[in-house]
Amino acid sequence: MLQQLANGVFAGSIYALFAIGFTLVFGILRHLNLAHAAIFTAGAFVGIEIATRTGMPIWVLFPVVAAVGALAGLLLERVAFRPLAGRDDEHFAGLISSVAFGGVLIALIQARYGTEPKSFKQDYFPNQLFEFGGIRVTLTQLVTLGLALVLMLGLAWLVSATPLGRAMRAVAENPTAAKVVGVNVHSVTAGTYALSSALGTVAGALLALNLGQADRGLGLSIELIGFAVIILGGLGSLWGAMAAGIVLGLAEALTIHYFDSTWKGLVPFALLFLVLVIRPRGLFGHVKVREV
Amino acid sequence: MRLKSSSAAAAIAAAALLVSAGCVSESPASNESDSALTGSGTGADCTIDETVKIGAVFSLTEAAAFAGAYQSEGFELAIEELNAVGGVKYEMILEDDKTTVEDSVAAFEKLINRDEVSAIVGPTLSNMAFTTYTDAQSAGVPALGVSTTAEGIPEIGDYIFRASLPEEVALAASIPAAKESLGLEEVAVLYDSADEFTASAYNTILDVLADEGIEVVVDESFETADADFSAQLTKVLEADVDAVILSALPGATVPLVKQARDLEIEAPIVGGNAFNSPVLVGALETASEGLIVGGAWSAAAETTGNAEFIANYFAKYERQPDQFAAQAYTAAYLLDQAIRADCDANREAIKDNLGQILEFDSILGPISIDESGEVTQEPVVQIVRDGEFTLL
Repeated sequence: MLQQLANGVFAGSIYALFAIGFTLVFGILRHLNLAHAAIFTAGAFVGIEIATRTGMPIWVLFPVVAAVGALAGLLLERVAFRPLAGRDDEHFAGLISSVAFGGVLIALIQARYGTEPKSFKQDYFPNQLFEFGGIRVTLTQLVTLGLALVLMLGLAWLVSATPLGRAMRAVAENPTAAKVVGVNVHSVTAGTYALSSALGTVAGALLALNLGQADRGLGLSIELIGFAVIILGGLGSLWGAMAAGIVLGLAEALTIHYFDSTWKGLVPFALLFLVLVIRPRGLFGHVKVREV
Repeated sequence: MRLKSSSAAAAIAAAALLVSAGCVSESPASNESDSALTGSGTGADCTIDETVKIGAVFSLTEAAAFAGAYQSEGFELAIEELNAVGGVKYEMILEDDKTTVEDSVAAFEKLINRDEVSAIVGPTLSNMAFTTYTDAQSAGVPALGVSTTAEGIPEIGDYIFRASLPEEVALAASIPAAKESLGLEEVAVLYDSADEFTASAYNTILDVLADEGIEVVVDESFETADADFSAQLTKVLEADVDAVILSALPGATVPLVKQARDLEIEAPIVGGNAFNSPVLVGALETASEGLIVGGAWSAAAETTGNAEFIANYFAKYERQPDQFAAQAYTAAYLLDQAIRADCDANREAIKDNLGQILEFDSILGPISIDESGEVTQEPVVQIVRDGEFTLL
């Protein structure tokens, strides 16, 4: 039982990490970035390739993967969202162009890495097993949880206490007014995508490290649950995404423990509907949905 | 949006036209034999002037590409060897079904009607075969499956054959072999409930376990796209079983076995056909140690031509062949046998002779196909030791 709770928390921290990148873009820019799952998948493959080629230690690897992700985010913003800015159908068109960007990315991944799954070398990260009061956790799981917490708290700090965060909140509140008071909306938008994609790629690489391999469907496998996390937490809410990630991770693990694994797909979504019926704005959403 | 009545009428007329056009092209398949495909002599002396076209439909991309790529290579290698022998010249027309039923149906349609092939090998997955084989049957084109192991495939019709050891036969061999060498009493069964092949194997596993008097103490499922198995494995860990019987596609097998070993589940893991791949062993590295695999082919088996097959395959593709490659390779030789029997590469003749193959000496060992289309061969049971498949 305790073990299943721990399993749920570890799975949930990855869901949360996937979801905060996604919800960050929505919260600030009102863009639904459907390329996020592809960026997540790319992070896994890039992480594996860099680790295998250079053998660099894990604490160097993740910043490098994040940097690659940030570049991908800048490119995504430049080609899929910026050209549409100001159009009447900006939000809907952005949705479609981000799907297209994701499709291109997945095709590039297939061209570079082929169709077979790739994995980290077994000796890349020694996977020790620890036991605390009857709960078994691997070193990878601890690193995942630790890194997820650090990144989430770091992001929360960045948004609430730095000049960039202030500018982000200003853009979220009212882009035109933000421009009037001297906020460079273009760079805030680009920065938001860079940050979101950096988080996405790190989450992808972390998941690949946990699972032992990555294939092109990695992002797809987490995308639906990631969306459920965002809705459950309240669209645009960082704290909501974190909490909902853990809640859904726990829900899945406990479903398997008490019922049967065939119900695993149903319970998180049933939970989602239940929350929406009782509290339509989600766990942490405000009536004024826009927040960072 | 509402259609104006005139455009609605036009649409209906257009639809009617399409339907009637469809009816014209749906005329029953003509199975008149082409005399150019009938040659002279029999067996090794058979000579056919016209090139014999054989269609191959494999999943070269997407989910089942792990198998399809090997199949196309194994089949291609055999066609090259057969062409070097002379007498009958083969042309392989390769189609990728992208691991979808729609593309598989389109590929069969193209091969049957446009290319007018003599026979079709494939598709890779049973899921697709259930639809495409109905088309092949009604068109009167012999289809030979090389990895379609689900129950009920040969029963589709008299034009449908398979040279792929059914999963139930592989498991019926590997589970008793594991019981004998490891003394199994209590086991965990984990299976992919979202795939036809693995779900059908699951039923077989329960039957075989019941026959062997082995108790199932953990029975858990997962879905093809799942990647995190910690919740299921925790149940396995708590039950402290003698072995884990796993029915999964390679995509899930690698992370599942790795995660099991990470959690220090030391119990041996027993599986069927899908485990039988050097890629799997390579991806699992040391975690593959002790995997027990029932299958149709082993690199370690001393069957006729096996050593040459492995050497030639490696020379051509720079990787070790797997069971999928070996079965597709064998399929080409089986078709060649069927064609040479009456020196006739017409669809009808191939159908008649494929069902008469008796104890053909192949790299899979002696292999027979009966009139119902079902294959008979001895399964091999292997265990991974020091990163290599060895016979158990």
